[in-house]
Amino acid sequence: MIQPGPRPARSKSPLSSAVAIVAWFTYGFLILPSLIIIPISFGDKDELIFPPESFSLYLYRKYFTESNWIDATLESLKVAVLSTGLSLLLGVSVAYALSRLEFRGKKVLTLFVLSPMFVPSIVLALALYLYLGSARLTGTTLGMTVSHTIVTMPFVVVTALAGLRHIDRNLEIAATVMGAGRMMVLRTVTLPLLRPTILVGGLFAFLMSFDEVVVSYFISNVRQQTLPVKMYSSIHWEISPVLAAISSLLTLLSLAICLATIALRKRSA
Amino acid sequence: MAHQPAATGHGEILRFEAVTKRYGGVVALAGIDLTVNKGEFLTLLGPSGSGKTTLLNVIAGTIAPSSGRLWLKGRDITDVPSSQRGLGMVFQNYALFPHMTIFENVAFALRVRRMSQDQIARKVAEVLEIVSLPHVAQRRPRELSGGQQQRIAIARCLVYNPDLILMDEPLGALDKKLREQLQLEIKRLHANLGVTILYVTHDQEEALVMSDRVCLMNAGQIEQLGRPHELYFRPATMFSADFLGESNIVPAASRDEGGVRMVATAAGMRFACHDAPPPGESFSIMIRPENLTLHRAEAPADALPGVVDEIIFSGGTTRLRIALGDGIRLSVTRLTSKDDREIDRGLAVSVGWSPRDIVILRG
Repeated sequence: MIQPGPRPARSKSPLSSAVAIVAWFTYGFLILPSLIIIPISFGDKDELIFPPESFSLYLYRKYFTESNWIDATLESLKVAVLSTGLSLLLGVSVAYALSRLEFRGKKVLTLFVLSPMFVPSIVLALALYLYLGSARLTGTTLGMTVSHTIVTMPFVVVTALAGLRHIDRNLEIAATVMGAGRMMVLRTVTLPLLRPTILVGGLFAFLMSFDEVVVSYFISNVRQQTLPVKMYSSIHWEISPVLAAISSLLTLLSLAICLATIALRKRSA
Repeated sequence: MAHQPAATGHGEILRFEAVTKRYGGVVALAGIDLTVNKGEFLTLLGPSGSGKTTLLNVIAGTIAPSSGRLWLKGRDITDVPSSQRGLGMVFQNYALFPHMTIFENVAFALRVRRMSQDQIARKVAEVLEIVSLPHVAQRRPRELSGGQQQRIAIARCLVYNPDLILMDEPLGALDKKLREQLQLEIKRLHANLGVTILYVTHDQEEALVMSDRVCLMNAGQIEQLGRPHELYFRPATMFSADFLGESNIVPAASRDEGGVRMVATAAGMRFACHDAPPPGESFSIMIRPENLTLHRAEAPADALPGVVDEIIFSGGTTRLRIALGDGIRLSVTRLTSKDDREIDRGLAVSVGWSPRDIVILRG
């Protein structure tokens, strides 16, 4: 690992101050719209008002009591959990094969597995819509899970590949020379060492799935909606201030997951 | 393959039979024939890229040879997977499992062999005692020093009694003092436990200190194989002479005088040597600096006159470079004495030598 060298004496030239100001301004410009949502979410009127006139948990109560919001949330959770599990199972297996086994067509397989990352979302969404439609899987949890798995798996593969590259090969060789077969080395050495990576990959997959709109919008129908899809459609019909409460909760979830991954990375380093 | 095991030699553990390894056009191993005997400490010595690590990996089973066979205790293991070879291995970076305690690290191979809990606990305790680290069982590898980690790695091998322990520059990451201490410790373990060790190093001193036999490798081939003494005092080739220890290598020529083959060197030595190359063939001679003597008065008749050119004092010994003229310089190593203060650059001296310390190097 690279040790941080002695910190160079910080120069206080006017140029570097100017750069810092521009950087902070840009950062504020990007994050401000998300932050505005939070005060709005504590409003007590049935319309979006900024700044709110008085603070209350009215919109949050509304989110938790109006059953169709909770239904969509549960659907999102179900799809996120299922697709994360599937992504991890497939993604880690593929990454292991790519990094530890020798076989023909490895480069082609790599490209193939990672391709959903490069195909525009809208193209992927249309393709999945046509494909799942012909299998009568649109509007089902299965169809949604499969779609989300295809979207999230490449990221799991990339994360797992990086994690595998990080594991000292001598550890696996040592276990093998001591008599452990491939499956035993995998179970007792490789996977335990890969655990932080798998957790990080899983959290990101979960977040991506929970957050997914484009593909989900194509695959869902009126009866089967994930939370972001329902939020998106509700914008068209009624600009409900409940959206602010949900958005705040989603921001909180993302933040929690990002902090968790940072903590995990720190601990494994 | 219908390969019959050839008659096994006395106590043979491992035998290479014309083992080669090619990477594309690059030859990493060029037909290695080598036998390791039971209970032996054999060192593969050589510069980086000489093939020693490749050879070790071929034994471990992590590299498949391009051709040739490999026999372990009379069994052809060329195509046997690593996990079925029954070997032990110690790595330069220790390769202890960071997610397991020291106990679990050492117990790993015993668990693979499905031993009972009682047996495992007993054997681990026993072997930790042998490497004098009985109190670290519940710690993690990163809580130990480098030297302690390597002792645990050795214990992890000893505990399941493998037929052959491979050591890949195990002391390469340690500082000089600790390295010397562990050299002696490994040597002691080897002597006491009767294990067979195949050791890889690029450190010639380490090889000489530890080994029963040294296999000097160069460019994928065995340059010379023998006991440390033989390698040091009877190097077979220019490479051996140059790689091991300090040496004076001087061009020489031979001439037949009345039925006696005489050798004359560029440094002015003349002596009879019946197995020197015939006249007309160019060759060199080698003599170790510690076999040369320094004289100021009362020099032997055949001593070589010269001038002190350089004095390198390194504690117990002092090395002097003596210029003989014609650009020939000889290194002389001797025990440091108090009188050395009188030796100065430019002092006229003569260098004494004996024909029996001279080694003929062909090619």
